[in-house]
Amino acid sequence: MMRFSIIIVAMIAVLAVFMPFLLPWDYAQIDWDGVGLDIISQQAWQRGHYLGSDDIGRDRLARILVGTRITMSIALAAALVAMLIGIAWGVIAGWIGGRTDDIMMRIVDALYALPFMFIVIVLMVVFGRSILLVFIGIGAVEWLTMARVVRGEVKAIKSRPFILAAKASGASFVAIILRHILPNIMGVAIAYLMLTVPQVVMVESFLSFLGLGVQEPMTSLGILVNEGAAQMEINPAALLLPGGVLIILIISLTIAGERLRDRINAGGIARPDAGAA
Amino acid sequence: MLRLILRRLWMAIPTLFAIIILSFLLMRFAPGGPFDGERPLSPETKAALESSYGLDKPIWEQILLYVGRILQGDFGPSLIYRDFTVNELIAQGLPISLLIGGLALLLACAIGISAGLIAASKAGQAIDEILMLLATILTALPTFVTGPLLVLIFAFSLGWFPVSGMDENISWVVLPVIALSLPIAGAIMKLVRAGLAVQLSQDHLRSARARGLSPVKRLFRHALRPALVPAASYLGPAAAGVLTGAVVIETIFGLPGLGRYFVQGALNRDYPLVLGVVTLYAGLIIAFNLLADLMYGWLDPRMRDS
Amino acid sequence: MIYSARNLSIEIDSSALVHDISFDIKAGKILALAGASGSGKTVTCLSPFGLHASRASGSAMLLDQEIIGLDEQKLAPIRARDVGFIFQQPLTALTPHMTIAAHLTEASMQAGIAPSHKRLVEMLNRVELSRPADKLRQYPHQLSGGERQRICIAMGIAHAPKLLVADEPTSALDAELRCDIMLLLRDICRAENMAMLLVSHDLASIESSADDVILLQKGRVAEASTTRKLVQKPKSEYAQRLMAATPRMGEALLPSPPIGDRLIDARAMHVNFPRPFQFFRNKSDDIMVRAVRNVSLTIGQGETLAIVGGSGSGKSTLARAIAGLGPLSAGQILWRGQPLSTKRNRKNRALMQPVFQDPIASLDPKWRVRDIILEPQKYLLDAISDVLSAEELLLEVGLEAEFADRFPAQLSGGQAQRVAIARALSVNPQLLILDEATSALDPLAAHSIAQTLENLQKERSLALLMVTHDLALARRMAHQIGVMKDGQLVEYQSKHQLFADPQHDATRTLIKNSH
Repeated sequence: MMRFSIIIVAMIAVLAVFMPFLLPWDYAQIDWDGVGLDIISQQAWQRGHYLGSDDIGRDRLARILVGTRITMSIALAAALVAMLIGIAWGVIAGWIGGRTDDIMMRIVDALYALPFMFIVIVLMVVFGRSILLVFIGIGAVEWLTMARVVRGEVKAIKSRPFILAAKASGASFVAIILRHILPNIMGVAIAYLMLTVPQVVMVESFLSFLGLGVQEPMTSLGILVNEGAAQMEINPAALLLPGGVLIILIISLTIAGERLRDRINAGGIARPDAGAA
Repeated sequence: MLRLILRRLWMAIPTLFAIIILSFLLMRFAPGGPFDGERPLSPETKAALESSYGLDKPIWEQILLYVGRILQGDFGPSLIYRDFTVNELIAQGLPISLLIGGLALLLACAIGISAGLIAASKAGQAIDEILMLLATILTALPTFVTGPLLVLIFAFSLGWFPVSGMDENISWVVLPVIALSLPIAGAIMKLVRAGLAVQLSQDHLRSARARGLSPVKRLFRHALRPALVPAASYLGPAAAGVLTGAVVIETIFGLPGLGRYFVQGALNRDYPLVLGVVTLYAGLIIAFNLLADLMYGWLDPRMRDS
Repeated sequence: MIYSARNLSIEIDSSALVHDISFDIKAGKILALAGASGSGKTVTCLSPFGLHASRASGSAMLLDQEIIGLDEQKLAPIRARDVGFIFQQPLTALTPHMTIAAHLTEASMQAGIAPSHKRLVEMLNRVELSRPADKLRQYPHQLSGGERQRICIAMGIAHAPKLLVADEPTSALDAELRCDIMLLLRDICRAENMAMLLVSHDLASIESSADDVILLQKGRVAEASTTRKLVQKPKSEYAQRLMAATPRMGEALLPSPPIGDRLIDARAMHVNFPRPFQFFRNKSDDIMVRAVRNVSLTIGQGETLAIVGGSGSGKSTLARAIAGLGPLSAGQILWRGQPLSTKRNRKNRALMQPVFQDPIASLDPKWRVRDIILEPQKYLLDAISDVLSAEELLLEVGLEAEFADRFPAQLSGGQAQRVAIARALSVNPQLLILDEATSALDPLAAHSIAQTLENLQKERSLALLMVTHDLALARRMAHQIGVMKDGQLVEYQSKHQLFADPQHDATRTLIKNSH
């Protein structure tokens, strides 16, 4: 199941990156003579719109591929940002412990309780709509789970005697973090990175769907779903194609991440109980 | 237990204030104001408008005024719906949002708990695998895709439910509630299944088995209650999920709920409206977290003393 | 005859766990299954009743009914009616959201009787619990471990079973409680004329309670006889080794190796921890947990000082403070007359090295044995004189050089503990601080490690500071013994004096509860 999901994600990624170069039409290019072509019509095929064109004559296949590419790259970048913040926060809170840990985790709890999507929306409205902001905004809120998980792991590892033995060996704080803590939490961190990516895909598409994310002429899966939903009565393919790609992408990423997490938890140091998930 | 709740309340208050002040400042310092429309207003008109809404006062005074008014339950006038106060808009939108949100949460709990129970009692069998795969798929379904898809299938193609809006026939709630509840149902399924798996492997279940209790008694009397703790702790995030999802769902189904007002307010820089809705949402989510705390004590008495 | 097994064998996934065991238990008698962990004693008692995921073959007759081969449908009522079970972990054996009354009622319902309140109180009186009426209203987490185990016993006998199966009923409890619980079980069995199948790895507790014993070694019977015979004149080679490996209070005191210069002179040590933050604090609560109070001690070259005490007595905290791995709130530690600062420099670190209780957790699972052993050298190289290689160190602790390339997951508990000792030795320390270093191991492995430590002590004239709950082990190994209770060193004597004339009540209780 996990391998299958990873293959699907990889295939989607390869297609999204390379296939647009092979297509006759650019994603923003308007074909004045081929507006609103149906998905399997002879005319569409002849003009090189293999999946038809949208209501202002842009190639649907090219738009879906480029939208996927943008959605995925934003997701990866934001998830990496989230991982870095989460690891740093979790390691510091878990390592120092005590009052500092209390305060740091209370902040995470408080942020968890916030309707963060609304805050991202307010941020978007306030600072204008740019891709950079989209992913900073998303990355800044998606780190919470990572911070919790990493903190739990660090606390579990910290109480292990091999850390005390390292202290008795004269290892510095930095050496213990780099040589003992990080190698032992990396597996879990990567599993949660894989779980963050689909979350971010979801948030980015959500924002774009509301018209607050990526802006025209750039496109993303969320925008395409929004456009498709507006015309689904006449042209269901406009909704089904980008929606299908989005769902398959999110499901595959989630399955891969969950299986990886379960596999690591089964043999890992700390076994965060089910509530942490 | 009382202490725990008092402590949570004590922590919730500053959180709520922080949200109010933060979002107020963000909106206030945003480039572009509510009166920067397409047609520039004359400086005098603009000044007069801003003064009538109190926007010319020093910022700290605005905050104090605002917080003071919120404490009295007054969110001020809306800037885009000029004839309405925010309170009136909330009074109009909240019942609709609460109706579909509440129903969605109930549906999600019903589906999630029963499917989780079935999966856990058939652990390792095919039905467990299938249900858990289904749970993963459900959590991965974005509401803004499932919403239109449900409309496409059940409203346009089959014609069972209205496409959008509300009518006298209550059937308009069905599709929005389903779309909203699916991802949450998936999450609850996973949490219940995992919680039960943990409980079923505990020593106290082995002792119950040693005493010859039947599997059904063991599951319901000994395992279920503590197994629901992770699901209860998901209540706060679930409420947040429902509220967030409602923004999209209300837009897709054309329902005049709070979520729609929020989006309209945000797109048009209607500070009082956006602040009012965010404050209300934050309050609701905090209330759900408190409810979760109360449930812990009932589900697992150990939590009362910790 | 209540319960008898003939040629009982148990296998899981077609690999055999237990071969050909036969025994009989009469009413009012106790039969103990003894042996190291993994010897098959627990599966032997649980598998025939369908409480273990393994398959039993042969014959097991309970009240003249064959139970081998019965399915769960038939076994469940038999367990409910005729057998009572008590497990190792009293802390987790009770359902957290059910009150004690609910537990006892459910247990009584096995016999089909809904008990009155008066009956429930009687049940708690039977297991010698104080204030039974209050206890009935309480939840399991509000009781201590010993009280919970008494509840478990009350539940086990609530339906007046013919056979009581007790799987390590005392090994999760503190030493002081073990005796009381074992005596209670024995008295109940005799008084109610119940047969009991007891599983224990602790020969001492078996000796005080069981009538007969079967000693298992790797799934086979090593020796079966009456308890008295096994303890006093073991016949099999395994039983002899086991008895020799288990420190006992009755054994002769051997002379200890001579002591050299004074290394450690610790004066008036205090360790306080701030209490966890509480929003509503009782005014009466001390804001500090006083874990160690006013402890002074000395350790000389080649000396073994044992610190003995129950859990929570502050003995580990004291050891960590001396090792520079935990806080020291007040007091001074001198090394050969020079004060050691709380923040240890490299030279100080190389002087003393720790060894911990859990051997597997003491080794970073991601590192190879070679790197683990040489870790201290990496940081402390400039503080030590002759540098040994990982292979030399492995040989010194009794392992082959090939172990250097293994990962911790590929080691047994005893091997892992040897690696931990090799790591401690890699910087030529003069003092080893052993925090329950052998108590997580089987008696044979523990004994062999203790011998290795004694040899190292002679060759390197090492000083040992050992923290242990096991007075008999301290008696065997130490020159001096300190007894800790509630953070205070209540008695601190040479071992000869301590056993000849114990001064403090805590010491006398410890001696009484040791075997």
